[in-house]
Amino acid sequence: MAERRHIDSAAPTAHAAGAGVGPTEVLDALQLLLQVEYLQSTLFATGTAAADLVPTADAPVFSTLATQSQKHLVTISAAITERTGTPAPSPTFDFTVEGAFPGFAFAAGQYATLQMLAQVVEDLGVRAYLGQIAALATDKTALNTAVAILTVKGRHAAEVRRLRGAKGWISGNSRGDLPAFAQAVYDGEDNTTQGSVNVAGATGGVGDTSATEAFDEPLTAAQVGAILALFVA
Amino acid sequence: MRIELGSLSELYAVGTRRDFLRLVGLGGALVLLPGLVSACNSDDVTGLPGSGEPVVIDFSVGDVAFLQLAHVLEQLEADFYGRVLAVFAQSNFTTNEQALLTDIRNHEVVHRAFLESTLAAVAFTVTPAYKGLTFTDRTAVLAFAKSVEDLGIAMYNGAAQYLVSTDTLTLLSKIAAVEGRHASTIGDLIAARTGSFAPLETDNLYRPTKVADAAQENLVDKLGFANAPQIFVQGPNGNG
Repeated sequence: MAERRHIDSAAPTAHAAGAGVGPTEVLDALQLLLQVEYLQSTLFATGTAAADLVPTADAPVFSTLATQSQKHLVTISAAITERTGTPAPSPTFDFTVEGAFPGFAFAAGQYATLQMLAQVVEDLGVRAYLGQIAALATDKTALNTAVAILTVKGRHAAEVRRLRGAKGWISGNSRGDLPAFAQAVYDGEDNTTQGSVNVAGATGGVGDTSATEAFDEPLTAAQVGAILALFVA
Repeated sequence: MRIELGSLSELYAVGTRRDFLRLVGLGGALVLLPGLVSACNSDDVTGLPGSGEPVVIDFSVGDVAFLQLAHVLEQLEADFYGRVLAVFAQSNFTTNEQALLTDIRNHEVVHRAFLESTLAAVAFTVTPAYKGLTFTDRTAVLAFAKSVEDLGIAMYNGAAQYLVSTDTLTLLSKIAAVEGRHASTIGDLIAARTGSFAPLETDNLYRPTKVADAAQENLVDKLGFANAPQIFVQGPNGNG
């Protein structure tokens, strides 16, 4: 088995002395989000460029996903350079995910797998952003950028799920019909303690499942890094 | 003497009718507010926007003010979807759409309950106003849902910069992410398999006063702010 490489969320960055240097934790957060954007952008760029992969009926959706993911990538990368950091490079990705999708090659007839990958990376993206919001709190411009992208990630995630016939939101910690490696993207989503409130008890009768669906949950940088590493060739 | 009638039901209220008759006899002014005309066509009239009691959010108290503002919007959303669900039997939604809207309503009920519990003694209730919205009409309902979900997103995103507690910031962002899932679903119901699920690559951030101006259109209570933040850092769309 190939050695597993870890995505280093604290990638080396060039700091210049003087104005415009962001605090380390802001840059670390942005570098982690950049890795997520590489993953998403590469998946959608490759998927939309592949011949006979995305059906015509779904092409406008995937085109939107690809365009917006690329813009997110550019935005996060720019946020790093504006803070005198150096954006870490993109890994080379293996979208068979260490054989979880054997033979996946963005080939004709493999749309179902592309859709599964889309769901994984988008639900991952929501949780990755949630995990980094607090780290960006001292930098209002970076924070604003992140929250403005976060809710769009929520839009993306819901749409790719619904194209697959699933609901747009995550129920409990269910990965649905995704392969076992994806469970890490859904663990913890069954949380019903929000702040000091047990929302399962406070729902006014709508049930525990709705209570888990009503909130997405953050993933830590380490958790995100471990999941990203599964996609690195 | 000036009497304002916003609905036919008000005309038949005992006190109002007595006053109305006296008014006509005295040659006083009878003002029929615009809401009366549309109210005649509405399935339900809850009250005119801004015609109720003042409610004031005081931003000098800090994060609590943003929880109160969020609670106002979640009350509006939960109430709205609840009214939609109540008339499904007369509506033109598909069965699948009814299930989706039921889920969304449930989530908003959870959000409302969470905020009410968190706010405890400083939670306050608002009364939504819908100005002639036909809750049985799929097109009208989805248009309103889109606007209220987009407003909620802009409210949460715009609040982020002010929150002192990073725990509260993360908590409200967790709700915002799900509102993004809602907005996407509504957008897709409006125009399936198009870019409608995500009109922009970055969502809006609204300053609190812009949120209040928009929300007032759908609140009977007169929503007011004290000590509103003076500085607002714009988001990527620059329209907050």
